[in-house]
Amino acid sequence: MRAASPAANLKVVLLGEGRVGKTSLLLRFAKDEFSDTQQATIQASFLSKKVLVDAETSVALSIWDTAGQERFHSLGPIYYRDADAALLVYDVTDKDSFDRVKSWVKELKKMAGRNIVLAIAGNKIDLDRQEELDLTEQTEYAESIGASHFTTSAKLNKGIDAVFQDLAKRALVSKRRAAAAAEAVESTLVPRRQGTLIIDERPKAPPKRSCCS
Amino acid sequence: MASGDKQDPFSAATAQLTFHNFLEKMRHPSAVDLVRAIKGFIVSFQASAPDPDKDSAAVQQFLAQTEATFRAHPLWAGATEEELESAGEGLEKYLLTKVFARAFGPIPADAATDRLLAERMAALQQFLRPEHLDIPASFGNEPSWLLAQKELGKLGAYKAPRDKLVCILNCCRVINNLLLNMAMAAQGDPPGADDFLPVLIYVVIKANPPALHSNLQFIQRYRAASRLVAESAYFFTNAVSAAAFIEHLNPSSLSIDPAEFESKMQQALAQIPPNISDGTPPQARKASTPPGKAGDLPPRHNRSHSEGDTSPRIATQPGMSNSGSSPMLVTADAAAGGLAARAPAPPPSPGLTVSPADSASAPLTQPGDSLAQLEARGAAAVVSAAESGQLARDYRFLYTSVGDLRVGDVDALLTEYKELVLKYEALARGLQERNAGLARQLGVTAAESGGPGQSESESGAGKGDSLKTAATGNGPAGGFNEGKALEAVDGMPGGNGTGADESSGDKEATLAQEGTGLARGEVQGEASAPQEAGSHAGGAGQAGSQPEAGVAKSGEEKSESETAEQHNHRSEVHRGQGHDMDREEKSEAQGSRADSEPFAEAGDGEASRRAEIESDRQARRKAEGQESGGGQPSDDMGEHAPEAARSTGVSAGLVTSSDESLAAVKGVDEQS
Repeated sequence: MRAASPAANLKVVLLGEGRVGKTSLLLRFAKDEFSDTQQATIQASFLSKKVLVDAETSVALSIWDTAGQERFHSLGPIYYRDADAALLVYDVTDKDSFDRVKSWVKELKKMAGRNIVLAIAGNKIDLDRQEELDLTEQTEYAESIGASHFTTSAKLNKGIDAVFQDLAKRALVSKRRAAAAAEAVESTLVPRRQGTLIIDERPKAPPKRSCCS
Repeated sequence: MASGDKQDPFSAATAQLTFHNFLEKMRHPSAVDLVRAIKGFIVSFQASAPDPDKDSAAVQQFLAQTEATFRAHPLWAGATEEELESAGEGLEKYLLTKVFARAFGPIPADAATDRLLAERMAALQQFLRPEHLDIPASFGNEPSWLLAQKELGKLGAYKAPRDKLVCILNCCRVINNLLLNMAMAAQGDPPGADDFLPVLIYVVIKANPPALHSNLQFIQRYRAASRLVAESAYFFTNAVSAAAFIEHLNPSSLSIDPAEFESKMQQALAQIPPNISDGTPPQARKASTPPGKAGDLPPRHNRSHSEGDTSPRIATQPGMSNSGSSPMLVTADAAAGGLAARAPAPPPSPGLTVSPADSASAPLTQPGDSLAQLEARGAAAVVSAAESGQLARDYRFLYTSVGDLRVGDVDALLTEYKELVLKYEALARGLQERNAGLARQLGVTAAESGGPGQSESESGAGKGDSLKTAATGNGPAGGFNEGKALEAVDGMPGGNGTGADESSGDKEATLAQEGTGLARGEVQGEASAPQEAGSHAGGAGQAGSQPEAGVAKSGEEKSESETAEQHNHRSEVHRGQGHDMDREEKSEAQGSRADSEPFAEAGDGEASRRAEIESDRQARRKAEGQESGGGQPSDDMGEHAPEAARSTGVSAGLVTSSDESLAAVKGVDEQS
């Protein structure tokens, strides 16, 4: 059932102010593939979806919606503590919503692991006539923090798959790199732990537990 | 992804069978090394000093490791992922049930947070309205949220991390469903986090589940990390974040004028008795506060004054931590405590000492109040108590579905049942007599003086007398009354739904009402368990309403061997399994402390449902069990029952026939 290499499971937190259309974005992404699974209809706050990163690699994205109201801002870390990626959504017609994105980024950089992958989505491009749209500041900002920038429309189903595809791809790379690094560190520094793992396989004499964890 | 991901995180349907299967496997001869390893771990865990991080790491590692061992073990050769999964679940449940007392809320800091949260929630719930969290008025279907609150209220009723987690998930599911319905009605999108979290916070505050922080920590620490994933993890995290929000809440967190908030908060806090903040479970308190303090009171007495809390409750403490039953199931524990306190020297008739105080402290009932009238009055109180989740906390079995019953619960259940029946009967009869007496008195007075002697009819003496009659006439119920009466004395207005400042008459009518009234309250279309609980309560109510069902059946049950025999006799469905597992285990691991007890103890629990399914096998096993272990009172029921019998039967020789009550219990089982 499983692919040769087990599909990675990546946690993506969805951050954005109340009215930027996070929920519609998530729903659109969900519907796309699972047009009539029951899961998508129960709630739109959590979604698990498989994404093909390339021809033979797929990852399962667990997408965690977060409450965007200002009063819940300080709860952010509880959600993105162990996230692999964050998608920050703003409304292209609402400057304030982009400022909120910036403040989240600041916090993410501070709190979350350095490995967290960021993407910024300017949503509701359907509402703005293309010629008036100037997102130079936003794209430059995204670049400056190492995030990718997309424009999306939940209404027109534009750009949404691309965002998650990008996040999945980069988060997977980041996660693998981190895992490899951790392994390298572990093998040089803590042989003890590896020893435990090997003993684990013997049913006869399971070690009680390691004394040091 | 494996099937684990596809599972409905809310589904609890197979849990009981799962656990049973696990215990079954553990009884296989080839599992002996596993059993030894598990028990070894439990012993060493119990012996170590509490350190949450270390404890968590140790348990997590042991769980992962043992599950890996399962995978390679011949017992699971060819097993499907699902079977291995359920073995893992079974292991977790077994292990954490065993070490619960040691693992739950072991550090003072957790208990302190529990208290802070409990106090804040108690204050907030007095004035917080949905709009303070900007919950749209269209969501403002507060009665429906009660269902979600009720789910949270059960948090303390379980020991296993998974079971606790399920309470949270159920709460979230109820909220989600409600929001979804409203969204669909408004043709909007399904609810996202922006909609969900404020409602969850509101519900949590209204529910004020006991020891919220400790419960969350417990799940976080001891739910197998491999299973606290995906949707479960998401909703669990929301609960954690709701608790954090409440903990750090300040005026600017709410849509409320800061000055208004401050004044309302002050006002609300002032109304909370000092020990409201004590939401911690016994273990936590035991560890963190010296005995005798207000902090020692069981959670159910949160809202009561402490001065009435005399020995019975303190006596409860040791029993709580040692007994296999859930620690937060306070009613049973308090009852047990009461029994324990009374057992050595059966009170001549405790009702005598208590009732005058009662009658002095509160106007009892209007002379003309019939039982039905009282019931009707009490029903309102019961409904509000049910809504606040108080009943779920106080009456451990009220919302229990048959599948959740463990065989080990039977004796507690039976005790509670007898208690309830006797109490109801005593009160009903006492009231009748009193009414009759008053009527006579009134008649006499009227005849003598030619006018209604209202002052006499209201006098304390008159009441005391009739109460005395009630108490002596129904000795055991008087005995049981003691605990309840204390409560009534403790009771705070508007606090403890059932107790409050009502007179004991009201209160007992309230209690009696539970059998029927609550069942009604339950049928609001909640998930399966409460409905079952409904039928359960209904069954009890029926039994209770037959005047002769429980009371006035004489029969000396004091002889232990006889009791044990009866237990064997009745073991057909309920005990058969647990019983012989128990015995087997007892012989294997004797001298077992209650908490390092064998598989049987936790195991017997789940037997009942399974038992019906496999009654054939059961019967066989039961037969074996009887042959090998005849009248040996080795199960804990054998130890408790005589006590119950003593305390119920001593003063007036009223002993509930166990056959009768068993029939009632059985009837409940069969109903569902």
